Amino acid sequence: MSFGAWAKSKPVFLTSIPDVEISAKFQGPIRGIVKTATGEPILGASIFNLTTGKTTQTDQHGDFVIEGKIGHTLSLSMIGFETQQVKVEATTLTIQLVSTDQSLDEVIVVGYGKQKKVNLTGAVTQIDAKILENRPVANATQALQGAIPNLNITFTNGRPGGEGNVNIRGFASINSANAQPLILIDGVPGNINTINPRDIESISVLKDASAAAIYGARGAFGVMLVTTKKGKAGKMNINYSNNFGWSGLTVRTDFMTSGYDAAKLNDEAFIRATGNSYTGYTEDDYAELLKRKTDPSLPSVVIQNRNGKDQYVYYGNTDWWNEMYRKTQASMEHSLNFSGGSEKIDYYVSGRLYEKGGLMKINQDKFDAYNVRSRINAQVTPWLKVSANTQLNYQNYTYPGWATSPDNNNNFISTTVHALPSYVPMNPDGTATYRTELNNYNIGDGIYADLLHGKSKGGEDKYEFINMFETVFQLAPNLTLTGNYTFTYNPIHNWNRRTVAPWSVFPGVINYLGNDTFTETIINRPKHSLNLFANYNKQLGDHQLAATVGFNQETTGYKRIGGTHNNLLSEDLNDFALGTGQMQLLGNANTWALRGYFGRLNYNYKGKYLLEVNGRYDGTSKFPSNQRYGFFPSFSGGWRISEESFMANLKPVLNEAKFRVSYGALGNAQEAAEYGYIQLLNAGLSNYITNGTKTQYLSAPTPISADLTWERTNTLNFGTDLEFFRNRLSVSADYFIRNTLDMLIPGKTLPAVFGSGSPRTNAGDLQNKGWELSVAWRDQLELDGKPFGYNVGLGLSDSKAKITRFDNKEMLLSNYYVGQTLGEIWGYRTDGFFQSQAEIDNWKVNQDYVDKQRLAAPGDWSKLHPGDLKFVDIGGKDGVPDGKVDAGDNTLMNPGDQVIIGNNRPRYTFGFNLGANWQGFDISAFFQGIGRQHWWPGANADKFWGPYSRPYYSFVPKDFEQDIWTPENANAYYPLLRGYIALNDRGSLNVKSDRYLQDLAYIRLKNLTVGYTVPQAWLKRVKLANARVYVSGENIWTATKLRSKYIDPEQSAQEVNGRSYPISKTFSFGLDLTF
Amino acid sequence: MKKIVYIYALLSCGMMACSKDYLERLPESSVTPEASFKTEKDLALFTKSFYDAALPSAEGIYNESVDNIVKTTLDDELTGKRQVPISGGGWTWANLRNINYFLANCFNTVSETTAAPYAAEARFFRAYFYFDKLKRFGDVPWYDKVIDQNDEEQLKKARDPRTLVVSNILADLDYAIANLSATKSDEKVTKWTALALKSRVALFEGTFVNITQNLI
Repeated sequence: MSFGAWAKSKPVFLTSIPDVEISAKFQGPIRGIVKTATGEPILGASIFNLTTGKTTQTDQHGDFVIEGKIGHTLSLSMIGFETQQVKVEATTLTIQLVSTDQSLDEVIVVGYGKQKKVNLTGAVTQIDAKILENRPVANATQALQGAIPNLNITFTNGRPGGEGNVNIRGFASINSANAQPLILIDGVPGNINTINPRDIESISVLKDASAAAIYGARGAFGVMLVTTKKGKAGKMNINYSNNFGWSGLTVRTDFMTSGYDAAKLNDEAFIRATGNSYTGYTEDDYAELLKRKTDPSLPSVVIQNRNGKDQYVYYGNTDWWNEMYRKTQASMEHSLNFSGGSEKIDYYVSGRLYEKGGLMKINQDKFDAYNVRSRINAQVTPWLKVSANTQLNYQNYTYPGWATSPDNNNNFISTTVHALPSYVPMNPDGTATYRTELNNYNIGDGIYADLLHGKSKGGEDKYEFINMFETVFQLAPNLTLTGNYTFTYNPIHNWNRRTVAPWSVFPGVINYLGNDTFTETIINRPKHSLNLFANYNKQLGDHQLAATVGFNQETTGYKRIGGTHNNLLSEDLNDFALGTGQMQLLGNANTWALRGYFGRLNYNYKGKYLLEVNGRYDGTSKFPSNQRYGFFPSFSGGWRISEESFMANLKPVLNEAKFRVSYGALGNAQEAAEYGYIQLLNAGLSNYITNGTKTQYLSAPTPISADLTWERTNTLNFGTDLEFFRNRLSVSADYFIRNTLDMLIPGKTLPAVFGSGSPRTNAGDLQNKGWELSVAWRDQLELDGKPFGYNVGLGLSDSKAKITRFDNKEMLLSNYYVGQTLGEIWGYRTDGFFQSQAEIDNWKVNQDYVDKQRLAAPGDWSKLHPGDLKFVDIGGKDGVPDGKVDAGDNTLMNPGDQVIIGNNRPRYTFGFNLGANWQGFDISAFFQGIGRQHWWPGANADKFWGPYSRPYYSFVPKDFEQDIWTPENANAYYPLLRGYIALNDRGSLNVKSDRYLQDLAYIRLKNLTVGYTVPQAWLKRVKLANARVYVSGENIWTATKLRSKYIDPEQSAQEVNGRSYPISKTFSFGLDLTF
Repeated sequence: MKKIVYIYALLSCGMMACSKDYLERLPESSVTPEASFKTEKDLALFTKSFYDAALPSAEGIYNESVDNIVKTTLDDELTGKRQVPISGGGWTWANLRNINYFLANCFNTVSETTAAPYAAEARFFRAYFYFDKLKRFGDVPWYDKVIDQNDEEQLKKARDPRTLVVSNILADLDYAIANLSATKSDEKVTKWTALALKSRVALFEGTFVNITQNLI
């Protein structure tokens, strides 16, 4: 027996093998030094002893000291480096950490290829899918607001499944102010609103001309590249996640519900404007209403004999908003994906189900989306790779009521009028209400009666089937040839049905409102897209070259078939076969095609001096054959100053600094009509009957210009990318000037005798300047012995556009003019209210031009009273006050008393995010907002103007009366109560004035997510690789300068009256499991 | 070898996709003037557009601007605040362009005799158009051809004296009377409609001449 074996067989205190004994007893500190691969010490690296649980950090020399023994395992982690686990084998250690230095190797997706982030010379920002994870959203645009500076996403519509409009860098062209960029999904034009947000791996936004030039004509206003996830070689991953949410609204919905107060308010406004009562209630009726204000036990509907007939008379206190709309909307999402692969084949198969209920109380509107995708890549031979990417996206939205399309929801427009709180939704016998018979108006335009009957409804369902097939040849070690073909087919089926609905106001007598119509349309859009390109790269000593050359061709078709049929045989079934009445058919079809050749050359010297040249030669079918083609080049250069030798000492602080410049000229054909250069006879449907039917007619073609061609944009961009403190702080800034030239606008104004508008020619120019800034900080500290990581980021952007060429010699303010800042709002200055009759009598200025509605009022009300709005007389023809307030000639030279009071383009848009994680808990918050944007409430903005617009609005904010001027309340916001002055032309609240111009500046907590990742130890038992639960809120808090809490600042910028489907505020929870 | 075969296959797919006329796309749901004006039916479809342009719609007849209704907002004419507008106010010429376009093209393919009733309808509407202008403005420029957008001389033409306008109106009506159908109809203009309009024009102009001569 060896000495060692004998020793081991004895009790512990006797065992001793010399070296083991020393180390077993050794409990001293372990010392070490942590360095990078190039030998530099790392400050602040975290060392965690997995065995004892003790932690420490390195100092500026990279030294550390930690309690431990030999045999313990230490885990070293540091931002920007791979976490390493080291087994202690000696008391002094030297550890080298491997840099994952994200920014050195980070690869960004660019047009037809990839580039290292450090070599980029264009303005490109890439975000990964993290921003889309765990958010209760229907589609990707709902999650992208504020994520990237100058990627502006706007929503008109908050309906479930509502689609956002994407815009890059602000005002684009007169023909489409917020033109969308070209959105490519895996290289093929697609719709970002229909793909499964969970399938997105990263989104690259190409903002300037040099990055977008390779897309030629369609990249004029930026390009957005969406890359979807694919499988990785290794073990198979199954991932399941779900999300359950409940939504409310971002605005207040407590309106006036007192029948007496609302009737009195509206009648007063109506009488002052017209001399008559709106409701028709008599003194006795008002007494009854007053009784019901305090005593809820009295019946809301009574039967009385009026005008010789027995009828229902309504004395209610109805809360119409809650009668029609729900307080909570529920949503649900399930998503499952399988991914994995071997060395030869990898696959990614995913599916998703999303459902959300809407706001309507009776027959709730519903949105469903299903997505299925499979992406398979196979390395068929060492030099040939084949991939197939197939997806099916389905969306369906059904809604009650008689709207004609999902985004044109009459429910939000018609119900805003005539449904006063004193009227009730149902008679005592269960029939619906519609007319009051005390006046000649219809309650809520009959919407509620129709909803109660429940047979009017509509829907839209869309299928999108996309199939891409791609082959990549490796012709030589650094030369690849790729060819891909994609076919997209997306039929959109839209239908709506309106039936007659019963109503009653005389007990026992039933009448019907509405008509019986069924309309159905199917639109098909087949698209073919073909790409063929080669990538080459070569390293010659310090010089590195990369080139891409290719060909692209696309065809987009459109065909619409539809019709209307009246008087169907059944109220529940909707099909043309059941129609018995008049029938009408609709059609339309067109096709356009695009073909282009492109090339790109990249050169860099020692990784310090970068140069890129792009060019594309594009042709489109939209222009006549002699103007069909255009060449669009761009150049960009960069200097990585951080790689210069004189900057080497600053490396620990400033490890990456790059300056870049780019210039490019791109074309834009998106606004051109498909057959814009061909004269076509106009067709229409006559209103006059021939032989018992309405027939078609043809009329003279609209004159066209013979030399239509591309709109062009020239963009000059300066930018810089800086990284500090080993990528803990990164700063990126860009300044750009984008000129949009030769915009297709109506040409020179022709005399009216020409008989038609001037034909569109390429005759306008504008210039758009702006900047972007993004700053991000991420770091890791130690908190209570465990690593605590946190990150903060800020994105800021702005843009401003001016017209530089436009034929408007008289400088009429009603049209664009040279020098105009786009979005400017002209209005009048005001000076509070008249406070006394004496003040009015001494007032010498004539403001009749802006007070037309008051002048039409009956009797004494047509004169000025205390409490009316006072306008300021600024100047007449020579700038001298001329005693009248008017619009002069409405030209820039003589605007009368109008001045520029604001601008309706958004300025200083920002996004701000915070995140932290510790011990498995993670929290992230994301704010988004606008710094300044003026908004003039539209004439029909019911929640803002109340009875000042239409003295019969249904939804008047609860404390509206506190803002109305009375002699006791002389500092009120609104002037003397008068009806219609905000609705009718040239009324005192209808003309734009500085007093009521609103600022939509807001900051909104877009998303707040708190999650917990279950510790690995617990997961082992249930065979899960990863599990996370989270709670997430969307749009949960808003602060704004907009005066009304009943209007959403984000929506009102798009919808001037604020009457669209409200945006949701959602709370949700869910879990994420990986097997 | 295999590599080269595959590459040829791919490139030939690409070649097939390259057809010379790929970018030449013609309209699929609209008619060009060259394809129209070929049969009598085409002419009938075109003349239908004159009715929608010239005759008032239901709102034009049954609205609030009539003598037994007082609107809530008084018109500028009544309050004495009317200003000459920058555009509109009766100075619209789109209907004339439509009529002249038709008259320039209706004899292209169809024979003179077959097209005559349709040309007569067009000339009736031209007479109706100019009668309205005559009543409002008196002297107006007379156009019987479509104006080209670059024809400065025609675009800036001075007013033609009303005597010229009236004699042209009457000439148009004479052609209409000679060529329109004599069958009575409540859906189309007929010889009798043209006769009625001619009598109105003559009475109007006659009264004007009568009064102005007596003033001298």
